[in-house]
Amino acid sequence: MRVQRVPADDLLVRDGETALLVDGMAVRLSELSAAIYDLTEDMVEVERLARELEAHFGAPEGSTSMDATGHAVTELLRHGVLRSDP
Amino acid sequence: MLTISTMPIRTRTPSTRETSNLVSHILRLRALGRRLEVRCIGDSADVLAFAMRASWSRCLSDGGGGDCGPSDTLHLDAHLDDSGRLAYQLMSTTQEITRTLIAGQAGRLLMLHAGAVSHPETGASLVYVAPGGTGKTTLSRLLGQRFGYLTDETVGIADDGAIHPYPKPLSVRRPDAPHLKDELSPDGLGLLPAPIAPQVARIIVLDRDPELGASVETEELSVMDALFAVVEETSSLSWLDRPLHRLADLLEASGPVLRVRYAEASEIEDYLSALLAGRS
Repeated sequence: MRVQRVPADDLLVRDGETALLVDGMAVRLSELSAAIYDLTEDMVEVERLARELEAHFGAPEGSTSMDATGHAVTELLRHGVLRSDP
Repeated sequence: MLTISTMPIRTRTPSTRETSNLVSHILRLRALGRRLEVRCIGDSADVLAFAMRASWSRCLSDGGGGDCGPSDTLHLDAHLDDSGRLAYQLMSTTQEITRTLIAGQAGRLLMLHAGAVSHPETGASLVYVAPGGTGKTTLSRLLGQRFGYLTDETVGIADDGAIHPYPKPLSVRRPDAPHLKDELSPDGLGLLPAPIAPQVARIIVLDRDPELGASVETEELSVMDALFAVVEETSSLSWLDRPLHRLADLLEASGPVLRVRYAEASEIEDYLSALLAGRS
């Protein structure tokens, strides 16, 4: 699956935290989700995204990079922050 | 040659109803930085116009200059045929006026679902953000005895922190008919008038918990926590330029934002008065 971020009305970073306003809805991003948002200006395969996130954050504890990335991507899709390739 | 018509000019005395129609059924209001004309229509238009003039006394405008941004006037109709439905129509007209004004300021003002009062001399203002039905009106009624009443519903804030007052009637739920609110004039309740230039001095988030008893709990919120507490109570936020930045800047400038948990408005009246006095 490939995903891409949805253009936000605004993106705010304060004290290391990120907030997005997308389609009139405010969404608070975790550090991982903020990195995903940053890496998805263009369409990108989730597998590639997982590799890039592992390179940046290291391997997650108690999970695989692919599972952790997949979980975060699912949440971001659910909140309308990302869209997936049809 | 000058000729003067001798044809009689027919005159007649208007009926009571026609006379009442000669009295304007149009209310010219100035609120939330906009002008708004409300045209009362229907068989009982005169009853509605009379009642609205009383309840909207703080917002009546002579059409002159003053604190208003866009020069175009907003319009809406309020219809009353059956005078027995006056209270309901007053309530729904208040809601419609609020919606119209908010739409009229979308993209201009940062608008919070909040009440506000202002120090009568300095203009320093306390903004209390809360969802509907959680005590904004009750608190406005109490604090408005000491500070200038700005609104019990919507606070419109310009990018320099100036508040555009919306001193609407206070919408008070009837104990015996909770679906119905009476629209009470701030003048009738003896609330102090808004000062000339109210500015945001402090923002709090109200969290009413009837189980809390007499104790009051306060918590300082980080900017991000405050933003997410307040963002749910904004109107037309995404119409603004860089909306989250504008909101965060306001929260920082007036911070720290406090979350205040309480059961009854009377328990926090003195605390909030002291909070505002400290910023004046």
